Amino acid sequence: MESSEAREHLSAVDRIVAATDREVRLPPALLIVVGVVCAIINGVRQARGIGIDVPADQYIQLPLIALIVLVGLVESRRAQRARRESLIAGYAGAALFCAFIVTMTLNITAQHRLISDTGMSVVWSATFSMALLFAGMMGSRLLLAAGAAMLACTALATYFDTWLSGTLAIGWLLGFLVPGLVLARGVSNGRGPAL
Amino acid sequence: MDEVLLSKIRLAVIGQLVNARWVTFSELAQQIDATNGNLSAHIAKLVESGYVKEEKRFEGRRPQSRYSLTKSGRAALLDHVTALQTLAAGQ
Repeated sequence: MESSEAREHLSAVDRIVAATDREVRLPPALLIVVGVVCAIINGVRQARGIGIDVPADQYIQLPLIALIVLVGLVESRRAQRARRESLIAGYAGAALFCAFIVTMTLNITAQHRLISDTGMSVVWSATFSMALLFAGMMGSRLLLAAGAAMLACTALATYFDTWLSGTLAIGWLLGFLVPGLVLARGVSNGRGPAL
Repeated sequence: MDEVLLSKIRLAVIGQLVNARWVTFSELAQQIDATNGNLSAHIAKLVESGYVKEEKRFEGRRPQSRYSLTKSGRAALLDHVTALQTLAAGQ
């Protein structure tokens, strides 16, 4: 092989690798549902905190969490029908799944014994903002900004005794609903070719 | 220099797979400028070399083939790119 041909082959590989699977693409519907459900859960807690009569948590949380599971299953089925799946989308999904498992484990074991209801809400927000930041760093400015906004709301919420749950609800909307809506419009969310 | 990767089409297939968990045949056919028959033959060579793993399944009623890069395929690409860079640098 001539050196000119070698350069041609190298540039072909560069072009392909730079243009494919560089963006983290998470299912918009799942982001929207998670954002709305978690904002409702925190919003209801906020309403109760300021004296509004709302139903008990178990009547609201169980159907909403069932909705997240249902949408998650539908989206996972849809992902199987896609034409390709990138490695970084898989890693981002794994990060969110790990965040869910870790927080749910703490929710079951430590809540009420070591961590209060309110403290647990902060743990949920902090863990998921970390997962969003991780997904964003791999290849999505949108998710990076969403994670930063959610983390900022989580940190800010700890200074507001009365409006803590409301601030966390805003964090869930900024962290999940907003990027979900942006992605649903088909807008590119990644860093673009890095090479 | 890896003989299997000297073909531009096979190199393009590996390039398409390098950051993917899997890619379907129809997606590869759309991304790579080759006829279905030609692409099929090149992919078969990659599968035979152990660089690419093939998975056949049904999507609804339609058969679908999807492909992923194996560890030896990834290593072969890195070695090949290093060899190309050495050759290109030699002018």
